[in-house]
Amino acid sequence: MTYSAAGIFQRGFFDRFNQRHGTDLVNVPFKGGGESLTGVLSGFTPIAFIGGANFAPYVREGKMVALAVDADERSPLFPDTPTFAEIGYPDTLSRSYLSLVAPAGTPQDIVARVHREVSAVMNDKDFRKRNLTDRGLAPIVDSPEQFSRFLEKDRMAIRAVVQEAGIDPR
Amino acid sequence: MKANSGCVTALIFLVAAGVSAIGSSASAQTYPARPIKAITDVGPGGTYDIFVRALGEALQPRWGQPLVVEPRPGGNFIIGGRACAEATPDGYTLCVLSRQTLAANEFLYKKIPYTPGSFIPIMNLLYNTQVISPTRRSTSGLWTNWQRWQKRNRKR
Repeated sequence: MTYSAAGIFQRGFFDRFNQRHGTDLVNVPFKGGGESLTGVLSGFTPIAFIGGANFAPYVREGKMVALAVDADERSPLFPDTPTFAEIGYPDTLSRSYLSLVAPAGTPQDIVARVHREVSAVMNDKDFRKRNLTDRGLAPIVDSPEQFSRFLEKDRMAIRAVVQEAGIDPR
Repeated sequence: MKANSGCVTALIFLVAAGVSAIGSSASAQTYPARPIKAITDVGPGGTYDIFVRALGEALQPRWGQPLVVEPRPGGNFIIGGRACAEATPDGYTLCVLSRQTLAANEFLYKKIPYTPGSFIPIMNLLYNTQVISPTRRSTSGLWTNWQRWQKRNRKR
């Protein structure tokens, strides 16, 4: 049986799943959430591991099933679906994030101003509901220092995952 | 002679302070004076693209300037990262980039045209919660097995 996955971390989960259960789920590369969704609906790649916002409507209609969400807590979009920790994969590490950065050399006061304005928008209740939580996205909103430390930690975690998987850089 | 060199030092210091004051007032007080570009590493129409456009719309009344989204998808996220790294760092280019661009590509590819130092981190915006989801029809066997397996797991 084939699956499509958003990236290397999601593929890593299936590698581990195959190892643990002796299954043979095979990755099929795809371009973007739309193509992955088409693959599931047509049955060409019947399993997808991608951003939940892509298929929330289909799960509601009963055309697809949400098996597991990679989040600390259950998603408001899929309240009946267990987290990976609940099903025995606490360190799946597949959570994608989206970040705001500026090219190196951007003046510090502009960076501070952008951070302030974007924080205000991100913390606005209506904006948050309409553009984030209702769409299966979990808002973060940290400081540049926190984000910088997070990024460094995540880079090290990814390096470890890549080494463990024996992936040679291309 | 000694007093003289002290004088020169003081003068240089004043010049440096003057320059930084001008730089600061020009950027902070008048910013943004024109539209801001947001480089992304994904194509138009997807989850992230829709989000960035919504963010731009919400920022416009605050800034009095639009946020113009410039999708640079493809190339295993290298194209978007490169476009951001090579942009003029004057505050009129911001970049909304994904995890693979910022934290993974350096370990997956031998040659990428940017480094972690190419970017100033501003804010982590969101987690895109990933979900495993098959069709109900095509994988009913798998679904049943998965439910059994979950039940076993919960008991443990």
